[in-house]
Amino acid sequence: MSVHVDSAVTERWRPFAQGTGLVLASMALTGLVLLPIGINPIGAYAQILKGAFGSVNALTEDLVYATPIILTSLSVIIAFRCGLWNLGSDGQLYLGAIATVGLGFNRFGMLPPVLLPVMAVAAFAAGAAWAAVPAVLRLRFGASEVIVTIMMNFLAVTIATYLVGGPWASGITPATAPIVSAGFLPILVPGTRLNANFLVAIAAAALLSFVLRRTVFGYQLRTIGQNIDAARYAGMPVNKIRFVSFSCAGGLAGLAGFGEVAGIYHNLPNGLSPGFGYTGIVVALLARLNPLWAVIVAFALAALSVGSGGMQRAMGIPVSLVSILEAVLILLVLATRLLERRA
Amino acid sequence: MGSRPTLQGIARSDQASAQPWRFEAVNVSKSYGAVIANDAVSVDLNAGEIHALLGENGAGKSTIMKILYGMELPDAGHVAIDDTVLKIGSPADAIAAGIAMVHQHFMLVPSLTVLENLILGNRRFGGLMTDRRAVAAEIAALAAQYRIEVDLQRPVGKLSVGEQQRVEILKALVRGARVLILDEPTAVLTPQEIKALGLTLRELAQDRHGIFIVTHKLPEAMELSDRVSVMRRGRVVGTWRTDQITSSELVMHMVGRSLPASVSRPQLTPGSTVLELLNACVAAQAGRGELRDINLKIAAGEIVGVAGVEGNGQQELAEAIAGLRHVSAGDVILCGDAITNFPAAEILAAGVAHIPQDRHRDGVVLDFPLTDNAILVDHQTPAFQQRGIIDRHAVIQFTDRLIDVFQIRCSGREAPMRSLSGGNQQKLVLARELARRPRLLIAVQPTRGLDVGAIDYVHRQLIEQRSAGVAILLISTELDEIIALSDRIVVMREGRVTALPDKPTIETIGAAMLGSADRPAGAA
Repeated sequence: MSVHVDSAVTERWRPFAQGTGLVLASMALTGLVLLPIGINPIGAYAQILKGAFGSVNALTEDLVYATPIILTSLSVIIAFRCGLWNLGSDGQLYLGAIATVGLGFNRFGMLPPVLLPVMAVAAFAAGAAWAAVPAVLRLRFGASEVIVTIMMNFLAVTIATYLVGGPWASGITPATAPIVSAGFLPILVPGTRLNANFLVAIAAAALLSFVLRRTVFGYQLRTIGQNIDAARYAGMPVNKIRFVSFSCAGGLAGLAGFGEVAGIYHNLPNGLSPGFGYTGIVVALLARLNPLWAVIVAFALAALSVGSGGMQRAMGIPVSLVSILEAVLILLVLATRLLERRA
Repeated sequence: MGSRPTLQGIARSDQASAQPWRFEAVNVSKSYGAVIANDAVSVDLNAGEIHALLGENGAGKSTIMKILYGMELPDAGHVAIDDTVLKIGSPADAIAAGIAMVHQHFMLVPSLTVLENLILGNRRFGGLMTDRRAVAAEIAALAAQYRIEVDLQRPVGKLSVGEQQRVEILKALVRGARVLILDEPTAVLTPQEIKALGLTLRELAQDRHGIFIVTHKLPEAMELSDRVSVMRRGRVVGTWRTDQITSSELVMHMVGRSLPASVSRPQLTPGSTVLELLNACVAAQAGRGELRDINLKIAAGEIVGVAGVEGNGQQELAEAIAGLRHVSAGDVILCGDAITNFPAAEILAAGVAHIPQDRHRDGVVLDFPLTDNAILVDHQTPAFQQRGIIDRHAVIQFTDRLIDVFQIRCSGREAPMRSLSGGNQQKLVLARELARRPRLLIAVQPTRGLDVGAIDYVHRQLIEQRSAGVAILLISTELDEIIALSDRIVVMREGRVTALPDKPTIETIGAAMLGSADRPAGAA
C-alpha cells in the first residue's frame, strides 16, 4: 500500500520535475547559441533571474504577465481535455478585450459597482461566442477546429486594429480612447500593475480543477476526451458537452482580454497580445493539461519573459533570446512526449 | 545469404518456380495477458497453394498471421521453411525471407503515384539515378503476368479500394515475395473486384506462390482456396481440402460443438414481456449493416439467444435497442413503453444494460482508473452524484465492491484500466452492468476472448440474472453458448431474424445461419 502511495506522490510531482528539467535543458542549449557571439550565458541567465525576482516590482510584474497566460492555458486545457484543439485563445482574448473596451466607455451610464462585473461577463461571453463558431463548424460539419481557430485569430486581430484606427480611435496613440475609471480593476499592491484579474485567474484555475475532478460535467468532459465511443455508449450528450467546453475555452481567453484592458492598459492598444494564446498552449502542454500546474508553469514562463527585459537593459542582449529559449523548450516538450508515447 | 533459408533464394535460382517448398508455423502459442490468442497453432502452406484460414473475429487468425509476418513474436513454437527454423523478428525479416502481408488497411502514401509507392523504400530501385522508365516497364510486365490491372502513373489517393489492394499485392511481388498473407482481402471489395482478385490469386498460385487468406466469410473461403483451416478460440480445429468439405460442415467447426453445457438452467416460467421489437428496421450506413423487419419478444426471466455468422446484423440489433443506432421504421418497446430512438441515456436509465461487443473500444476508458470506469454508465444516478458533484466516497465503495464480488485482479481501485488483463477488464464491464440491476440485459459476445474458467463464470452470472427475473438478449457466434443458455433461439442472417423449427438442433440452426439447405462445396 505504501508503495502505491509513493508512486502516486511521484506521479503528482512529475510534471514539476520534468518541467524544471526541460527548462534547464533548453537554457543549456540556448547557451550554446550565445557562446559563439561572445556572450556568457551564465551571466545572461543571472541577469534574467535578477530581472525576474530582484525586486517587489519585478515579482508583481511576473504575476501581471502570468495572469493572461494562466487564463489562455486554462482555455487550451478545457478544450483539450474534451478532445478538441483550441489554438484560438489569442483571437478569443482580443474579442474579450474588445467587449471590455466597448462597455468600458460606459455609454449606457452603468453604476460603478455594476460596470466591472458586466464588463467581465461580456468579455467571457464575447470570447465564448468567438469560440462557438469553430465549435459549431467542427461538431456540425466536421471542419477542423485547428484551422478555423487559427484563421479566426487573424480575423480578431484585424477587427481590433480596425477599431483602434477607426471608430474607437483616440487620435493620439495607436490605441482606443480610454475607458472610464469606474471600469478600472482594483490594484492589489499599490504602486504596481498587479490587479484583481490575477485573483480571477487563480480562482478560474481552482474552479476548473475542481470541475474536472469532482463534477459530473467534468467527468463527462474527460470521458469524451479519452474515449468518445465509450462516452456515446454510456449515453453522454457528447456534442453538447463538447460545445459547452469549447465555448468555455473561449470565455476563459476572453477573461484574459478583460484583464489586460481593465487592469493594465485601460484602453485597447494595437498589438494587445504578444502571443498570450500561443504561450498558453505551451503552458498547457508543459502542465500536462492540469489546471493547477498551469498556474505554476505560467508563472515560470512569465518570470522568464520579465527577467529577459532586465537582461536586455543590463547586458544589451536582445529579448528575442527568450523567444529562442521558448522555441527550444517547445521542441523539447514535444520530443519528450513523443519518446514517452514510444516507451 | 549463407545457410539462412529464404524463399527468394529458392525463387531466384534458375528453376525457380519449379522447386517445391513448404512454409509452416509449428505449435505456435501466444497470449496477451489472460487472453490466449493462439494455443499450439500449426498451419502450413505449400508452393502453388491457396490456404484459407477461417474463423470468427477473435478466433486467433490475425495473431498467427502477425507471427508469420514478424509483427508479433510467439511465446512458444516456431516458423519454418522446409523444416529449417526461420528467425522472423520483424516485418523486415519477413520481407527479406520472401513473406509479404497485405493488410486490411493499406499502407500506401496517397499523394504518391502507384509507381512511386512501389519503389518507395525498396533498395533495388534506390539511389538518385533510378531509371524510372526501365523500372516502370519491369513492373508493368510483372503486373501483366499476374493480371493485375493498375495504372502505374496515377496517384494512389485517386484509386478505388480494390485498386489499392492490387497495388499492395504488386508491392509484395516487386519485393520478391513468394508467400502472400492477405488479411480479410474481400472485406472492402465489390463482387466484381472479388472475382478479379480470385483470378490474380490463381495466377500467382500457378506460378508457385503460396497464399494465406485470412477471412471470416465462408463463401469466399470455399471459392478461393485449395485448403481450408478453421480456427476457434485460439486453436486450429482442423484442416481440410476445400473440395472435400461442405459449407455446413465448416460452419459446425467454426461455431463448435465441443464445449459441454456445464451450466444447469433451473425451470422458470417466463414473466411479463420486457422487450418487444415490432417490425424494427435500421437503414444501412457506410460500412455498417442493416436490420429488416425485426420482430422479437423477450420476457422477464427469459434468455433469448441470437445465433448467426458474425456481421449479419447482430451488433446493429444490440445498438438499435440501446439507442446507439437510429431505428428507421418500426418500434422498440420496453415494458409496454415505446423507447424507439430515445436518447441512449434515457434507455439506459429505463433499465437496459448493455455489454458491448467491443469492450475495449466502447465499454471502458483505458486511461481512467477503475473507479471512473465503474461509474461510466451510472454516473448520473443519485447514488453517485448530488447536484452535479460526484460522491467520491460512494464511487470508491462501489468500485471496491465490484472488485471484491467479481474478483477483479488489479493493483487497486486507482489502477488505470489499461494495466488490467483483458479478462479482468471484461469482468469489470460485466460487474458494472449487472450491478445496475437491469430489466433487460443485452449481452453481445459476453465470453469472447475469455479463458474457460472465466467463460463458466460469465455463464453462471447470466443464469443467475435470469433467475432474478432479468430479460436477457444473448448475442453470440458460439453455438454451444447459445444452446446451453437460451430458453429460445433465433437466427440472424442478412439483417433478418430467421424462423427456426420447434426443436432446433445444431444442424437446423446451422442451416438457418447459412441460408438455405446445404450448399455444394465450391459454390459461392
